[in-house]
Amino acid sequence: MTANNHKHNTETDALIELYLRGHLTGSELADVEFRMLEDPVFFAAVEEAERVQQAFRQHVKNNADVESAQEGENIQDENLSDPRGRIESKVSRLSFPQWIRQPISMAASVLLIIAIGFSSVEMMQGPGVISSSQNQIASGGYAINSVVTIASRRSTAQQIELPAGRHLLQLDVGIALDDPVYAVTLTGEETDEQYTFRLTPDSNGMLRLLTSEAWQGEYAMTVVRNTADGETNSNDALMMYRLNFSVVN
Amino acid sequence: MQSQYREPEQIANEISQGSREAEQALLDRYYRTVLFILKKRVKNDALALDLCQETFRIMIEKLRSSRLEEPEKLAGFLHKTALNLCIAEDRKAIRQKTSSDTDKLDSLAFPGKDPVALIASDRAAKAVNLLLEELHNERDRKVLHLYYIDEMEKVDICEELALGGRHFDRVISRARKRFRQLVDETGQKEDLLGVVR
Repeated sequence: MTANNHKHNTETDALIELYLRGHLTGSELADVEFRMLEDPVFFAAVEEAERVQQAFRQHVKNNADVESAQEGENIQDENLSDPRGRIESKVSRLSFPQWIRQPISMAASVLLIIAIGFSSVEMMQGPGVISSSQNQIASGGYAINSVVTIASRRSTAQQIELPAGRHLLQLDVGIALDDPVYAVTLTGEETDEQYTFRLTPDSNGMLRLLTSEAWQGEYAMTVVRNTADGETNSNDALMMYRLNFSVVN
Repeated sequence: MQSQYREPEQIANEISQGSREAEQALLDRYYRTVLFILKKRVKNDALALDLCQETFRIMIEKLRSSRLEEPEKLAGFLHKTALNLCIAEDRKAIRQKTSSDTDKLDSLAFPGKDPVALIASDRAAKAVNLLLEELHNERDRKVLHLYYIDEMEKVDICEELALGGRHFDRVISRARKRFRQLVDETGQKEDLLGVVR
């Protein structure tokens, strides 16, 4: 191989690596793409370099999986020989906010809330109307009258009738990959009350809001996605609903 | 079978004259490359596939309806069409940012769910294992690790390991060559054992 050939090959290899690592932009990126289309030999070299790169990644991933499985077995072994105590040194404990963010924890929490709710809820038939008995203070927590999922594919009602009391509103804003923050605003139709909550959806794209027992009458509820600089613009409301908290005698 | 169409100009001109064989030649010659480019751009295999189909649909319709003024620039037209579709898709994604993106989620949850791709990837990972086992020189192994796993730049690796550029190139070049052999050998062994079939 001549010195010129060697130089040419290493330059080409370096360019391919830059491309595969996503380090090229603009005209450099376009030039490499165009060269791939024009020159099948160059494209074959790119494909092969990618194959090697991916193989190394897969190799690392496989090793990590094996290590993690072995670590799991070790923990199990240690736990069997000393059921109390040792497991704590291997398993990191999660704080409550970390724990609650886990999908299984969230699902368990929702089930618990629903179970508590069902103990005190009477469901009234009729489209978009959910009714319940008066709130009861459960020992150590609040009883929730109902869990109302809004904007899911199954609920189309824009007017939501609820008896005054504590309800868990679940707003389906969809899953986004950039951790957006939403502003949920309730504005009293007959009063000057206005409440704004800044909420982050869970991993299922649900915002959750516990209503206040003090809310009575009609409220307009808007859901706005905050912009990157934290500002909200009510003209860009994602959802608009009317909530009517009626007093049950 | 070797295609009778060798030049982009010939492919473009004959599609304009209604040749179905030339359309097939267009796909044979460029489809994989366009799909590769789109996958890198949009980082979503399903979307890349859609955009690739659309690129060729537009291209073939255009060629069928009129001749290209500069048929030798066929690759350039394809590239431009694919990039325009990418840009349009980006704009669409920005407009629909709040909706749930189940495709994206699926692609995150099940990357490379295609079983053939999984087998190929497993085979390649085995080849890397063998490759690293075969390397007796610890420094050469380190070179591969830093380059492919830590994604360090050549110049930094050479500096860290006090290595000449030529030595680095030799290690990488030998590794690639051996990797190719090992992938083929692993595949042959698995085929013989009926792992793949």
